[in-house]
Amino acid sequence: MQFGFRIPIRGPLANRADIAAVARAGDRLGYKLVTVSDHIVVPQSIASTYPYSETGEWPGSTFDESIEQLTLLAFLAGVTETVRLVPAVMVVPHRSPLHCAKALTTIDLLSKGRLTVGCGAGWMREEFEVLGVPTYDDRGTLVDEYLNAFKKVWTEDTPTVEGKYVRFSGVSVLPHPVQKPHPPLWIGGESGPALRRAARLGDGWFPIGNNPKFRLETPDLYRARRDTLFGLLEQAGRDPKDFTLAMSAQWSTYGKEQKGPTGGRRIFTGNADDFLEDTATFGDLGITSVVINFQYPTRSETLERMQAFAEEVMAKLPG
Amino acid sequence: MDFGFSVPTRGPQATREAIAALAQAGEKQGYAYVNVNDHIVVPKTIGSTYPYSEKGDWPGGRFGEALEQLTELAFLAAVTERIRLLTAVMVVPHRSPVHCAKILTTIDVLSEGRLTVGCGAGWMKEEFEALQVPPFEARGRVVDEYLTVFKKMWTEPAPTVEGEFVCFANVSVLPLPVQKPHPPLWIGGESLSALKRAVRLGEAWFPIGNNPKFPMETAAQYAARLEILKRLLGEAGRDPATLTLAYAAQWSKLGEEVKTAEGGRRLFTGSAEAILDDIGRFGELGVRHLLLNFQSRDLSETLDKMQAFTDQVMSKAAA
Repeated sequence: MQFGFRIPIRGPLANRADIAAVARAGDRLGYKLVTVSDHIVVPQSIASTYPYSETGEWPGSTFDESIEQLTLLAFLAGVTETVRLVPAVMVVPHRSPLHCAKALTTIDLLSKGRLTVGCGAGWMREEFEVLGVPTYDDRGTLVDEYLNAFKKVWTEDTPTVEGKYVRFSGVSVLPHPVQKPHPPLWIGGESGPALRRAARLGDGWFPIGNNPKFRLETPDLYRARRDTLFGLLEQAGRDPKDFTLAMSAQWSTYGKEQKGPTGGRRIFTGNADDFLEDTATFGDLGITSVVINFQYPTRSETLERMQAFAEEVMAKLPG
Repeated sequence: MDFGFSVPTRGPQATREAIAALAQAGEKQGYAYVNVNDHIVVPKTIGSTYPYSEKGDWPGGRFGEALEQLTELAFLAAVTERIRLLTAVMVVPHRSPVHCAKILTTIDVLSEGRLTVGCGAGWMKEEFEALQVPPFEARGRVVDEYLTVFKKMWTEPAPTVEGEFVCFANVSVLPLPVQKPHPPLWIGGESLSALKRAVRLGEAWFPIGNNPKFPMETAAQYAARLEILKRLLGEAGRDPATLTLAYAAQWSKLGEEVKTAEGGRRLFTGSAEAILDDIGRFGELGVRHLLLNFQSRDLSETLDKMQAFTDQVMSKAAA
């Protein structure tokens, strides 16, 4: 099992010195992924429903601020050496597709092949409107078109795209990424459309476990949803063995047990033995990467928790 | 006078190691600026006229390659500590404006206030079309509106914009940049509309000297253009002392005299004494920043050229 940690795009640690210190510590301690979330602006009143809270309220709105995801990842490419760089997730419609594809290529090249692109369709209509995104209601089509355009740009010398929203031809979009055929696409989301997109276009599935509409917080719930995905992969003629399973446990609290939605201990909360047990359980279900939440108000507390987890959990894993 | 140099976005030196090595060497030797140019895609057939060559053909076109400018600057923010990060120039219409403003803010935050935004209107219609940005013919209005939007987003916590190309309200764009009121805007270009834009919106005027339509390859030619700029400043009621003068001499060559079409010595070419003489004359005309290019066949030759300029010219001009 590989573990990841998040770097914040807002709040007291979203500054040069703290970001660099936390990212370098993660690199040194053996974490394999660093993730960054995606908001470009923060609408002042949000009627859209956030998928990952019980009430549908988005906890980020109390902060009013965000720095840009891919810019932060490019900075992280410079301050780290080995950890993989993962937008978690990039809201695919937020960025103009050719600009976005080339920014991702640039991160892959300057990090020497360390980019994994977590991809989402987005949930905040108000943000789409401010950004001038072509459509919110038809964002499924938009995501599919953009991801297909990325793949063409990353693998062909003179790609041509004739889509509903994306149209270009006669341009070179070199260089190609370092990773071949292209940086892995991990499709986020838990809904039917997200699973179908993962089966169609993804190299991995990267859900967040605590969407109340599609809970994945027990082994049985996760297995059932995973088997649906495996069925879709097989229908698409793909072998589930060639597919990566990752999870963002953004609710996780190392050292503090929470009650689960169906009673008992919530997964990826509790002490080292609890985490080792969950790691074994979800490892058996095929998950190879889990992102743990180490966001604390101060740098020293964040580093202390990351170090404790590395020593008490990561170092104790079999193999 | 202070000095800057460019790092490549294409070719064999557009790698993690070479970009970092060049930027770090320049920072150590006391250069004030590192700059990066802007192409997102490279059209296969270019009917547009490149402004900075005699025949209007673009020497970059044959490579078909370009790293993304702002992503590369974010990487440079990570691998350097003091040197200022300059877009030279950013083609303002290339990027969706709200997204672009937040990228620039992020670079300013992560570099702790080292961003200078060189701004151009662009010349390559085919690239605009591939990027699906507003019409090339409208680029003057687009640039004015986008720069005005940037300024609002950088100085107001919840701006409202109702323009021809950009409309939004009800949105927080925090954090604001580190630099107050905002990162300096250096307006590139040599035409009358570029000069007028510098007077209206710029902290500096930042032309390239070798546009054959507006040649400024002798001190007299530059001085004549500067007179027009000063007249425009006067008409606008703006104190000339509030507009900084920067100048790009990307053709400069230490140790090799290059002839102009009229047979004289081309500015910033020739012996150290001749170049120091040019620097003295431009300094007297008010130029404060000189941007150069040391790109050679390989990294060691590029570093040698930089070091030679540092030793023979920069160290003597600093006084």
